Amino acid sequence: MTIAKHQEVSAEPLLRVNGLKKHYTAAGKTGFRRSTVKAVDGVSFDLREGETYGLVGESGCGKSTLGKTILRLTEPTEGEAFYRGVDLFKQSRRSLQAYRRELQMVFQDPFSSLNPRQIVGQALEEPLVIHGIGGPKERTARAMDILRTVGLQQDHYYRLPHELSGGQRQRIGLARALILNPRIVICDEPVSALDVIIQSQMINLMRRLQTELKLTYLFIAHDIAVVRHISDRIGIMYLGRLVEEAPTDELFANPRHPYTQVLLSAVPVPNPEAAKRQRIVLEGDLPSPLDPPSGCAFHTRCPYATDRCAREVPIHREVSSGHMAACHLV
Amino acid sequence: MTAEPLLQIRELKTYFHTERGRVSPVDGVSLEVGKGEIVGIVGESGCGKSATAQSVLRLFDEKRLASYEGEIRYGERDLLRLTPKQMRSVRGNEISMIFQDPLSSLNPVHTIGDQIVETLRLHQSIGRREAAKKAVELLRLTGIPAPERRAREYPHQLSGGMRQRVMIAIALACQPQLLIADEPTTALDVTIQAQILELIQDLNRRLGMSVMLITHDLGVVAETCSRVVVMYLGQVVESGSVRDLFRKPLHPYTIGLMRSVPRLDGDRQRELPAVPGSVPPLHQIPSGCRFAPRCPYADDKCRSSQPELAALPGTDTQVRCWHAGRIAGWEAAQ
Repeated sequence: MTIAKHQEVSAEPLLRVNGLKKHYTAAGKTGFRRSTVKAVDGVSFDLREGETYGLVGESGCGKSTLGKTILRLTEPTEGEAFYRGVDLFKQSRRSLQAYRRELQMVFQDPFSSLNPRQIVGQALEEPLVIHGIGGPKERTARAMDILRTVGLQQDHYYRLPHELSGGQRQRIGLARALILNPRIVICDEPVSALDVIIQSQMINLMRRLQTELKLTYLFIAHDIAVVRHISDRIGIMYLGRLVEEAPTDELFANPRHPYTQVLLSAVPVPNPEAAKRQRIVLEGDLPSPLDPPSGCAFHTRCPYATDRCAREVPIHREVSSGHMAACHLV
Repeated sequence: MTAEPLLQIRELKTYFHTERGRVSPVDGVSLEVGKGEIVGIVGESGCGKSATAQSVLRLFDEKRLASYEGEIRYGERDLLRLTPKQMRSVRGNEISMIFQDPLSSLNPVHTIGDQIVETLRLHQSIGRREAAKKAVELLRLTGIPAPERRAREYPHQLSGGMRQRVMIAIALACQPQLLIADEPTTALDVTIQAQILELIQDLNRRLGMSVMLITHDLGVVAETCSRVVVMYLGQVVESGSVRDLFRKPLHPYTIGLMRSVPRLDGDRQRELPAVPGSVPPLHQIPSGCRFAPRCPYADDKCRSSQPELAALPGTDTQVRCWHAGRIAGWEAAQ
């Protein structure tokens, strides 16, 4: 079954993130000197209407922080986020509320975001209550409706979170975001806690709903095969920065940044007969974001690093049409 | 089966006595691990792959919770007939196990070095100093940089990948013949996963150590194992060489599992062919073939009587499906 992609992706981005920084102050090693964790350190990208933008990186690269900061679930340190021409970071708490309806979030673990003593129906209606939408009857009707939309039955309305399977809970997480008719859904690892079969059901559902409800996704995940499957464009993050960005097929055909190359080659392929790929095995671990390397943050693990990489931060620039990379050697 | 068998599990049943009655997460599992072989065990959560692995070492509380039936033949012995004391000398000495989350298996208040020394001295009569020297050697073997320094550090000072290396070092301390690795890379990032898998393969080649690798990731199996066992709801549904099984999966569950994984070379425009429904809980096991309610091939026979795990003529492959022959034929005709 081929899913026709609905959209003419428009040129003007729906969301434009510009120079976003999120720094945390942490106690230093001794407990006295304070130091700064640059969780997100100057990220810029566009989210175009109707597309899925995949954000990939290893744990600690700042991809989840980025997602949360856009919605101001945690306040940004610096930068701008224009949604339909309005800078979300400049809004007061109250006026932000109106935009929150249009930008929703789905989390990895819905079990921890659902109240264990609240039935599913209440959890689904809560966003409507918060935003003052409809009366009790109408809200219940919408909740029943959204349950069907995400492939559940009406009797799930009366269940408690612990009575649901992981896949069902994740559908509730999605339903709860969708009940407000958002335009953008930021999905933070929405399928990584699920078994492969449940995961594939969920991915299919998310794609179907994107077309039906004209959604724009920011899809944050570490599973590269999943991100490839669902995304139109992909951004790769390393230690708080975007190191590469390209349309999906272009990125896989032609990865330019050494980190992207390593990441793609590290994914185990379920085909034992594939000619043994040249797997680039990296030395060492992700450096601590408390003390990131100078210059290009990847230079300590990069097989091609030169002296320049240790000194100068590479600029994230266009290397071919729509393909950005931050590397001195590209 | 080319390799001489090291571990033979025959009709293993593990029972848990719960408030809702007796359930068997492992229900008649038979499988073999040959000398020097890496065998993968795959399946979704709740399929019994971890329970099988833990049963081999009899890690469940036999006083209150669990009981076993069947046979776990390791060399000349049946592990299920050993006394608790004999079993203790098998664990960590002849068969070692590593887990998904190394942080919860390491003691936070002892240094890495001390924890390796403890294992060494528990099983071997060697002195402290010698054990300490050996601990550093083991850390070096697993590719930890500056092992002398690391040996004096505590678990929280290490990254996830390093902790898993430490777990492997502890597991290797007594040169076991069999390493049971239960989702060893699931909590790790892909680049670190690649390092750990490389290490396990390298140790398998260099030390001739057999490995039973439990994972949900088919990619990991394809790249590291020589044979694979697929489990569903406490039973083996298919087993065979990795080559055959990936080229021509025969059990409808295996087929579904393989097709539902997005692939790097797959068609992105297509919907993922997902198996409908989800794994039922252990106290609601369907009658007949356990996969029948979700299976596209299921007929009345499947719903009423349970197929046995049977060898497919002329192959290494074993399948638990009434329609295996037909599916094999269909697949070949395509």
